[in-house]
Amino acid sequence: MNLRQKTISTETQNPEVSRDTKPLGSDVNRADARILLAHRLVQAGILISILWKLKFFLHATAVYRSIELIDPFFPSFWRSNSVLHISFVGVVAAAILNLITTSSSIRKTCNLASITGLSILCTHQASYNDATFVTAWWCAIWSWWFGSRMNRDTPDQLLSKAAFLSRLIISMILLGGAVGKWTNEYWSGEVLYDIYFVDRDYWVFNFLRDQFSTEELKRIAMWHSRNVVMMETAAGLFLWTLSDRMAATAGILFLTSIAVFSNLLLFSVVGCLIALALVGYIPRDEP
Amino acid sequence: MKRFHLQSESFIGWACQFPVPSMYNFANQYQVDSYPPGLISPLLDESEPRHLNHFPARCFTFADGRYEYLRLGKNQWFTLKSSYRGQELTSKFHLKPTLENSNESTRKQYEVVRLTAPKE
Repeated sequence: MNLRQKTISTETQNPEVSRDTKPLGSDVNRADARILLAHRLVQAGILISILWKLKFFLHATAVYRSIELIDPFFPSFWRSNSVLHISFVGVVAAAILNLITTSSSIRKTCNLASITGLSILCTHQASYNDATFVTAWWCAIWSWWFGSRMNRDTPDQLLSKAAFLSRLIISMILLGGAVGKWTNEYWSGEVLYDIYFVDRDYWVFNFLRDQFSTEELKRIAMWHSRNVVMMETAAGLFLWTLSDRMAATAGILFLTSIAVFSNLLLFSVVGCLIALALVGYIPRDEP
Repeated sequence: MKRFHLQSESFIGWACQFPVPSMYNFANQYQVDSYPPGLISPLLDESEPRHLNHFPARCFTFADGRYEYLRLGKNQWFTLKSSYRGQELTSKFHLKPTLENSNESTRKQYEVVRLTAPKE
């Protein structure tokens, strides 16, 4: 039995002990590096997503300070600007700390802090159901699960489960979007025409408005909308069934195209999902 | 659908649904008026309904809409309509300035009044 087989079999019996006693430069060390890389990739994705929104967030909070809404539906905690700021900063701080720490307990604390902060942002009067915070929340849930399995599963087992969970989350998010579009107004293109084609200041739509008449634009909007509905539905139903790398590639291409062809600000929504998809590329020793 | 109009029975019940991904769900429209709906002739309606991607109450809760419609400290009436495969939900909100707006302060405060129970 060579050194690599020995280390893998020892780890399978008791991964926690073997990880603490590993010799430098061994395969187990390399496996640990891959696991840490997977976790850090997703943390970087969360950080990029949140910071992509920073300029808008600063502008928005200035508006919230000057125009206050008293809505009894939201408890005062969920209307407070301070709560909004602290949650946002807390999520950023947790992601940064997660990127640099190797301590398991700090990692777990940061993951919980991240979930808490994002849960507040997803339900706050000023940011509820914001797609950026919802996708980041799912990535934080993935991170919390991944962090809690780091010392339990073998590296290959963990990376395999992690890649599956990542594409399952992406599929579910896309399917959630698709289901809401299975309606006449999207099939006819009416909704996307009004939201994007009429007056959205973005290079794709500016170009189309310059080139085509209103009637032609409506027809383009209809086919664009049908394409979105079908692509999202197909991705939602089948992405999770693909192999790790196929799913990662398809997911990254699809998510990137959403932002590039609609609105670059959407990278705040898809950025963390792209990082989540990248987990599928991390190699494993066992196929 | 009530979830999308901030018309759920309770905040807790509404908040528990946030993980459900719902980007660009339903055909959502909103209309903003400076007069109570029905007070003046439809011919004089001030705004055309516009589509929103999701959660149409954001047209007054989120930053862009808050600034656009509420920075002057005046009464505003919002009508939200969502439809999905034959189902429809319409909600009306009155954004009512509080007394604080009567001075010259740049800070505005509004009370959100739900005018009617949502119509399905």
